[in-house]
Amino acid sequence: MSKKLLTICCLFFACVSLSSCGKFLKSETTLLKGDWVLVLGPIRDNNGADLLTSGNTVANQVNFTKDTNYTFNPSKHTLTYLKYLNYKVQFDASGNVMTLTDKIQKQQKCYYRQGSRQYKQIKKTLDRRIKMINKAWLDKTQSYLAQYETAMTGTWSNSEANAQVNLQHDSTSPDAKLTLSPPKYLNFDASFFGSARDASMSVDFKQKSISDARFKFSDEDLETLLGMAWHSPKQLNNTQKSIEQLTFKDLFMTLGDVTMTYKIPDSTLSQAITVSAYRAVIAPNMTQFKSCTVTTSDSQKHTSFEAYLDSDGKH
Amino acid sequence: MKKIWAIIAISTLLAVAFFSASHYQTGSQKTSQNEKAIKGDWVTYSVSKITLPKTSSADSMKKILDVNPATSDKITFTQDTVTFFEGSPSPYQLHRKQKQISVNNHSYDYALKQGGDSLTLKISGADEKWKTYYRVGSRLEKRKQNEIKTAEKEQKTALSELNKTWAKKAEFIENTVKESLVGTWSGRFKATQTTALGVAWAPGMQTLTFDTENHITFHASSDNLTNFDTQAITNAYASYQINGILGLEPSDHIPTDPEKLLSIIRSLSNEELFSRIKLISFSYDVTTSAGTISQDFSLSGLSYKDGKLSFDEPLVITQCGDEGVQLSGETTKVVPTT
Repeated sequence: MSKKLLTICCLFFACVSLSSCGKFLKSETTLLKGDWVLVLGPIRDNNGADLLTSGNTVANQVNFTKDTNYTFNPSKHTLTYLKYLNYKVQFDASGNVMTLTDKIQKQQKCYYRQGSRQYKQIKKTLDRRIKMINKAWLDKTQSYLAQYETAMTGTWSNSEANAQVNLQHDSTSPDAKLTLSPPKYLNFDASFFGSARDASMSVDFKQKSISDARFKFSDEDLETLLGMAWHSPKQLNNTQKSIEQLTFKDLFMTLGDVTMTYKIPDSTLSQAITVSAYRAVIAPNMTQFKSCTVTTSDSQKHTSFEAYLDSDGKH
Repeated sequence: MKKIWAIIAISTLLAVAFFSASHYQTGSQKTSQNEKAIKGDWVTYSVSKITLPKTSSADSMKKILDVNPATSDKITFTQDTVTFFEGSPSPYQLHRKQKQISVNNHSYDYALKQGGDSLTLKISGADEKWKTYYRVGSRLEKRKQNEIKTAEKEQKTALSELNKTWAKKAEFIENTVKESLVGTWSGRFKATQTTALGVAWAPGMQTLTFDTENHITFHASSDNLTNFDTQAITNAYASYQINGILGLEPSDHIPTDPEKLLSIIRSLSNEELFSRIKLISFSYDVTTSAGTISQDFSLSGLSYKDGKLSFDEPLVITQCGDEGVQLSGETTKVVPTT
């Protein structure tokens, strides 16, 4: 009698514990029902000051049973997309995480059940990590931007390069001059005149207040600075460390040259200032730029020209 | 019994409701207070500093130290914009919890102190000091202003005694030099072209005569352009390294302690003064019909004895600015034949 009771008890507990793992109680066909969200790694944010954004989740939402493009074969555990792409389907113990493995390329995609605890958990972890990385990135870049702007303070011209030293040596470019005021909370005043060699474009402005200056990093630049797969979810921890350890000198040494861009208010013009590591001295308590390239672009006319300028040495 | 329970329950509920309501109210009040608190005009001051006069001119030779006046810098917050540079307001968002302000996608750390009359600000993440601003018109700002004014006044007073004492020495040096130059000087000079326009000519003799009225006669034998008779000299001043006089190496920084310098200068005898100077250059301008000529007398091997200054053969450099020619040569005193 007591043995029977014990068996019943055991079975009961087994049932209870099994019921928590949906996988063993439900068939895969049942598990597949409902909305699934493909959780992709964060992507680079190109719009604002943020480095990363979580990306659009709505676009990656699928209901495999309602979507006629997909057909499920329960006995083979395969999901077929448009009759030619075959995925192997695997569920985790909870039945809320589904891994699709591409049968040819063996690439994995991870889907989470919409609204599930697992989905909320991964979303929360990822969002928190993105937020931390964005903060670290903003703090680093704006502090280095302040150093860059301070080093760019003063007058830059091509008068030295343009000086005619003998009859064979002709002036190389039209005269150009750039003057930046000392920055105040990352804002500064800019004055510039210069024109293209072929006279296709000529620009002259004085004392324009610039408040949107920022570094320009290409996707390749970020890969060089932070590593190839810097924004893949598995790498985020290392990425944050890389950002925290990044020095102003590293920017120049790893990228070769560093570019700052800004728009000229009340105009269609923008400028990009590029300083090469070879023309910069960066020590712990001093940053000195010797020359720079200023590219002035007109977004309306789609024209631009470059001017190679030297520091006048007075800061 | 049931009634008692009901009363207790109701009163507890009421208490909880009241407590949470009052808590919520203080919370929301804080929000508006903080947003209001940052609104307004803020000013920061940099203190005045004792420095060395920058340029070498007649005026700067009469001062050992100078005061760089204090400067101020303003920022303005309105309900939704901040103005760092005059005339270019930018929208901002205040994050009370993080104690941060975002402006143009940048973030700044801030703190309000002293009952909202002082605001400290810095670029988040930057390795820099906090900058302290004071609310314009507040008692704190007035106090700070007074502090700075008082400090500047004190510095100026301390310097005025030093510079006055020094000015007397400088005047003495200059007068002694002028006195020692009175007479006629003669030597051979060579001409050098200093600009593309200048034409150098053959070496020749030059004679200079200083009279006691600060006039000069100059004759360069092979050249008519630089010849003139009895012209008043202008912008005349003697320049020299002050470091040597103070007993410092030429590359040393002059200490900015006025008291210390004052005691050095006061205890210096005239003999010691000139022996420490080593090199004086006396320069002046002369306006002639051909333009302005700048001349420079370099005196070395100075020695002061019995109220008279003696030196080695002085080097005279004449710059004819408009002509782009420089005449230079050593001269000796012509002893008048009696």
